[in-house]
Amino acid sequence: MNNFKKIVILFLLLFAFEQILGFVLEPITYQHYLELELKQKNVEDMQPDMVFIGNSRVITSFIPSVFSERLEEVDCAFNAGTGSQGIEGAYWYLKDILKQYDLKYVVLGLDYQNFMQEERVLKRDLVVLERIKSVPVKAGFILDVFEPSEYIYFLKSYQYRDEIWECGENIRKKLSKEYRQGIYEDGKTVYENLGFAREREVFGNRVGVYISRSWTEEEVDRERLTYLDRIIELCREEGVTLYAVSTPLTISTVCETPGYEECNQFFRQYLEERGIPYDNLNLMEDRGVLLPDETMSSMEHVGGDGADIVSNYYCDILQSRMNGEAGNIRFYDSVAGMKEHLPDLAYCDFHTEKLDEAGNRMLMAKAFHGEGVEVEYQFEKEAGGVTEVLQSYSVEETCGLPVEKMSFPMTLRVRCRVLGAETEKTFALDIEGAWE
Amino acid sequence: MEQLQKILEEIRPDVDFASEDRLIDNGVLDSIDIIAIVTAVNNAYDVEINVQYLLPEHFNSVEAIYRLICKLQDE
Amino acid sequence: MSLISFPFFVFVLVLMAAYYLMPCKWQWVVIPVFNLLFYMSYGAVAVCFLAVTMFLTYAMGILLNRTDDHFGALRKACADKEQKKKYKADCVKTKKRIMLVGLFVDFVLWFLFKFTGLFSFSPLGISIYTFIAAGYCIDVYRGKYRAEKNLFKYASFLSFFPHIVQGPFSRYDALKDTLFAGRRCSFERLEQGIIRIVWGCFKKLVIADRMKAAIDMILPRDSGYGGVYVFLLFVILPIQLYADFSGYMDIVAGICHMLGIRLQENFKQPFFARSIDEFWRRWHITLGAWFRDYLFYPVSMSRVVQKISARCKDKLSPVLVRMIPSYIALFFVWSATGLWHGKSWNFLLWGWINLLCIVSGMQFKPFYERIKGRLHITEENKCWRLFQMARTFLIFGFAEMVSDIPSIYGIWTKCRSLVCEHNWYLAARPLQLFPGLEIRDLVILGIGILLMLILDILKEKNVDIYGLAGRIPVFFRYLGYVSLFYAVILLGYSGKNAAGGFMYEQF
Repeated sequence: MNNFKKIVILFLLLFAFEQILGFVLEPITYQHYLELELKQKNVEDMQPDMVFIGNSRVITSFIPSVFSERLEEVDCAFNAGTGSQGIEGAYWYLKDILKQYDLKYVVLGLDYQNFMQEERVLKRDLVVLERIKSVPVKAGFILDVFEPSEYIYFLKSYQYRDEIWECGENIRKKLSKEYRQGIYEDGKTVYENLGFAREREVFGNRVGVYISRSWTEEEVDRERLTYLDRIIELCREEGVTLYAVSTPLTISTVCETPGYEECNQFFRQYLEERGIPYDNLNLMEDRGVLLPDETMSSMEHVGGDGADIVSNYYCDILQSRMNGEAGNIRFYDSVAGMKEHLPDLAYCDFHTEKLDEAGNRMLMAKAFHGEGVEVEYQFEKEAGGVTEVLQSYSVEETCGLPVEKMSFPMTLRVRCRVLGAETEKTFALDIEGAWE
Repeated sequence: MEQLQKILEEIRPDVDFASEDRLIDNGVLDSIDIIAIVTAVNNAYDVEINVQYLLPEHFNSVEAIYRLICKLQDE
Repeated sequence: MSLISFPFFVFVLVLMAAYYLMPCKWQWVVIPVFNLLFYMSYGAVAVCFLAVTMFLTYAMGILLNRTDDHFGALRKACADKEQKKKYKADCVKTKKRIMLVGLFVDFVLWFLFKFTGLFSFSPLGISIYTFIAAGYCIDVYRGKYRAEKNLFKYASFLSFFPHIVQGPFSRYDALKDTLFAGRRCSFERLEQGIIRIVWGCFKKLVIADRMKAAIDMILPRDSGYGGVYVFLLFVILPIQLYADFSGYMDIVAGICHMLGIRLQENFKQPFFARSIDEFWRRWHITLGAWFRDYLFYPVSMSRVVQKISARCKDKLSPVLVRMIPSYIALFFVWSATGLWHGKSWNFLLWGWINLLCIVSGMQFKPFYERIKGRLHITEENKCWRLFQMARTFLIFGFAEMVSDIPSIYGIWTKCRSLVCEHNWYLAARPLQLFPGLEIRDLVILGIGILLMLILDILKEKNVDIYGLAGRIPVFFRYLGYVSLFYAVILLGYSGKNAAGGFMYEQF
């Protein structure tokens, strides 16, 4: 057999192996479903004219169909958020999307952590790389962001090699009728449509105080910030209107994270200087009533109906902007402004601490409240269906939990009551096993 | 030469020194054998075999070793 | 750059392209250029030290030849026999001086880097190229071949990147023919070379790195693993080291094969050895050969040592008398071999364990023969052969463990636990026996080691592996090759204990 034929056989075998292994190993992602739907839209002769770009916060916050139905200027929106998407990935992905579709509007989800100095996370860029279709854009992305030592990850067989032990389940799912028809299987996060996935679970009264990474202007990675400029420039070149938005975090995160207000002002100013409308949905009016922390799914993701609330609210904002009615934009000016309007007991820092070496612990609670307001706390413990009051209502913010009273699993609760008012809220902590 | 053959057979009784003429080339003798032979020959014939004589042509057969001994004795 | 890395992959690709695009006459020039690039990727400063050794030993070779020629001419022109003798003696004396100066400087540099703490770094492969250069000098001194006149050719030989990091200890006369000759590209050679490289990667990434995870947990003194685990070490240490070291050798041999350059083999199915003596002619072959030719022979045949033997002529048995030079030389060889591996005394101890086995094997050979006779055991007896192989294997494993534990208390603790700790029942529970590994890892290891064993059995039976593979129809052959390649991709161990580099890379 001549050498040329041998080389052909070799490459065919390599290609076949790579394809088969890719199919077997690569876990199912939203990309499959999104592409099916976009293809369907193409068949229906509906070209997308609005896209949402950003990380998982964007995926779970914006329902494209809401925007398509309610915005006059928009016929078809889709959500192109990818998990942990970095600003570098956002730029290159957007570039690709703009090549494929004739868009009119781009909504960029701004996560301030995207601009901090931090270690490179390879996976987030690999996910974006997978989505990019145009070869020149792909090449540009690779040369710009990836190191040569990372090129081996472009082989799906290498990237997902650790999945080899779960491949049986993966193959079963991929061969199922539902997968081929684009029906998503049940899970905690459920893909709904056009790139939007809904977080099913919400905190309920299991919500704690979550503090994000603190922010100072010195820690901002100026190089990463240039990608924001590149996105702005790209949209200008393509004649696309760009909107910037920050999706909701829990109220406690906004109030308690050091530097959040400075961060908010920084981006407001930065984008104002560049003529880009920016809305921070964290500071939306009546936040405490519209999107309380109990309805959030995690520190940074809305849950349950939260996406509908957020999407509709932002839809109104966008419509106002598109109509040129800046006065109808309803946000608080600052975190302090939001705090003034927050209901008492909007969140509560409820946690336990070690008291001594014997293993006794201390329950600590501190609920958010307005000035001049007093809050009473009642500490309870529930185990095996039996509830025990550890400390009745008092203004004491702490309560001891001796070792004798500990049994696992158990639920610790604090009932908060505003003195002289009807406002009451319960916050709970589930303790499975030993303390961390 | 018979004395030499006897010495060799004492060191490696399993080798047929009479007929073997590629002792080194065929790997019949290993390094320990060679040194044992060198030492025995040095002591028996009062010569000094130098490292540079450690070549197949000097050790491949009984005759070759004998020739080497004669050469060294002449010097 | 590490051998298993994207930059090195590109390096080899570019090298192949450059080599085969060059006209045959000038192909050899490509090699020293790439040697330099490779060496510089490890740090530009160290190149200076390599250059010093290179220039020095190159000059030594030329000088030695000139001395030979000079005195040779004088002897030829002279008629007087006595004068001829004098010229010869003067020639030897002069050459000896030149060689000793050269060797002294060569080894002093090595000593300075490896044994004194003066420098915080070590030039790449100094333990390898120092010895290769020394061997070259000594060979030229002995008149084995003429010195290389072309400096670039000599540089190409000494700094040859396939052997510079972990060996083999190439001999100039063995390497030069294929190193300097040109040749056309051969598809067959490329195919064979590539699969050998993939096989080397398999041994290193799938087998060696995986085993290292378990070894790293058992080996530390305070790991708490004793008893049966220590015995396990004797078994897995040799296999892990073999997979790692021979894997590297396969990669460099594969590269050389693609270039058509013949690199000396360093392994010859070592676990088929029936004695420690034979083992060292099958394991790290070129190291043993170096010490044999340049330390063992000179020492054992030296006047001093021969005189010691002569003085014992009438006091001891003739057998012992003629073994004395060997024993003395072996002592030096194994002390030096131990110290070559590491400067601490546990490496010395490792060397002496090997020495003890070899010497006792020789000294008590008649005694062993008698016992074998009584038990009716012959050399051809299969069980006996297996026993010998197992014995050699375990002794090597024990010696390796000694070299891996830097404290005497640590060694003592481990050995004592062999007897004192009663956890031998774990032998029936393989999963608990390999900390850090799961059942899937054990299965992979089992299959991998079986593959290594099958290949070694075939090679021991002198089967031409390349020829055998060549007879398989192309489609199935390539199917096998691609499967092996993907086995490396999918199963290459990258757990938290995965080794970053090769074990002999520090040399």
